[in-house]
Amino acid sequence: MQKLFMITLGIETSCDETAVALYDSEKGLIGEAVFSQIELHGEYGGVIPELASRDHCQKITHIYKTALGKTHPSSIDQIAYTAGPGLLGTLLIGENFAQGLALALNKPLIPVNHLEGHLMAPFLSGEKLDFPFLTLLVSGGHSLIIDVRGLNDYEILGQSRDDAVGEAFDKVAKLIGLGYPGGPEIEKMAQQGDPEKFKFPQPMLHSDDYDFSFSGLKTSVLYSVQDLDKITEDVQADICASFQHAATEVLVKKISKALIDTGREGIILAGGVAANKLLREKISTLQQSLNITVLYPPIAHCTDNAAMIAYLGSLKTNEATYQLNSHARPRWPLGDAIG
Amino acid sequence: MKILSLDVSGNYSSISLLHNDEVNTFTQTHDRKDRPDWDKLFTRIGFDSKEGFDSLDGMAFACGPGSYTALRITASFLKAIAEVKKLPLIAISNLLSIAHEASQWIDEADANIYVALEADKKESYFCSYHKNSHKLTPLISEGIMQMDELLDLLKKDDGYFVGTGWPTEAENHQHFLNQVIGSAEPIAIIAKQSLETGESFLPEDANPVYLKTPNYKKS
Repeated sequence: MQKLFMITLGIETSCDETAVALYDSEKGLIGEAVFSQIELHGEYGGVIPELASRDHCQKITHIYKTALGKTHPSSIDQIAYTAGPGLLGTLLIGENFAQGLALALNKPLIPVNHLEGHLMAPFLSGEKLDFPFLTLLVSGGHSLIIDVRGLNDYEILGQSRDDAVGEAFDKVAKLIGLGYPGGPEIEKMAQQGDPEKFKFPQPMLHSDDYDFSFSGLKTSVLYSVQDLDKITEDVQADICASFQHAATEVLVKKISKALIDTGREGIILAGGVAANKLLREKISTLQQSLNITVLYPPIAHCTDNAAMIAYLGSLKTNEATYQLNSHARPRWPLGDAIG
Repeated sequence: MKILSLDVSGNYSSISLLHNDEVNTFTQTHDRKDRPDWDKLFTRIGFDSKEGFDSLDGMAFACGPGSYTALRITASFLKAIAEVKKLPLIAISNLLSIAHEASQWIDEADANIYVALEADKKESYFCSYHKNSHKLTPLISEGIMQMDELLDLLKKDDGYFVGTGWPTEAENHQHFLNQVIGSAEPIAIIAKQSLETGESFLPEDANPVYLKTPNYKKS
């Protein structure tokens, strides 16, 4: 007889966060631990895959033990892990750790799509939103507008044709001498800046689709920086404010167009860039003007985390398997079946 | 004493089950990019992966140097099992493992053993050991050696040479032991000796050894 309530262990190692979480289908999130490698990669201005893999391997046992806390491993009913998309070397750490746990505990495995985890993250805290809805997924690796019609039923309406928006934040931060990751650095600096000082382009703002392009915006910042004799703190602040204004303007205009065209009445804002306060303010204004429902994951669950993986796994019990085959896929398009 | 060991550090996957003085080993060569099939490896040595872990006294794996990804895959897999089953997990150097296997082929009670494992075309992972009776003592710390340095060692000819990292001149050298190819068997034997010391071996401390850190450009 199947248990009414299940505990799902989630493992996330797709990039630079080593994360493990426990989701109880009755009580919600009952354990979580995350280790961020930001400091490790900071001096390189971006994630170094080999260093990321080394660190995941070293930290994962400790993170698992921390997330578990006083929960006995035997109470875990199933193990979900990120199988893609992400860095192959780091995905394999999570996958093999998950396989080891599955074998030792005699529990099934559920390989899940990391992007799908982000789509479902707001529901972790008990928020409600009926299907269908749109999701704006914005992070260092993705800029996507997704039509979410149901679990396993997704359509990508728009995406970046070049850099992801979070990647553009990182690159601009690097250009003007700020640290990594660029998002929080730019946001902090922008508070003192004038968003009208630099007239940066808002690429594809009026195109008749839902796609983005952030490479040109980044290049425009580069040209502005090259024209300057010296980058003072005030100039840095103005560049940050102007860049942030341009980037968020495009995101909001595109999601607005998608909402109007599809008639959807709700959106989920997900991914690391979803933590940006200016973006949230603009989405809030849109919420009032279009009278829609907007859900945001808690800030801690905007970035990569295992809670969303555990939660997603709890919805996919029918996909659980005792096979130890490798499913790790660096490129795993949303909506595709497990590889 | 019962120990399960894995060596998936190169172009092969090898598994051993040591039970007292008997060792059952299966080794399969494959492409460096292939991922190990854990189920198949367990099956080939008749290890029951549902119940068998509870009867073990410890587990061990070849921790490198070798293929970075293969080392991490093995370490991550065994760390999880060791943590759940509360088993010691012992990380054994590939260089030491090869030296141990080589020592079985050397009749002299006293001999030097030089181990070089391929890192890339220009350099190799290296360590040297002294065999005294049945004991192996490292003569230096594990490190990286250039091809011309290895060639000098071959010319000096004061010991036995093993491993995949030697210049082509080694192939015809009278003291090159080409029958030593590496497997999980010496890993299990060395692990048994380590466990008998009474030392504790926690899963979080059992990590791959790389010996090389790529020189990435800093911003």
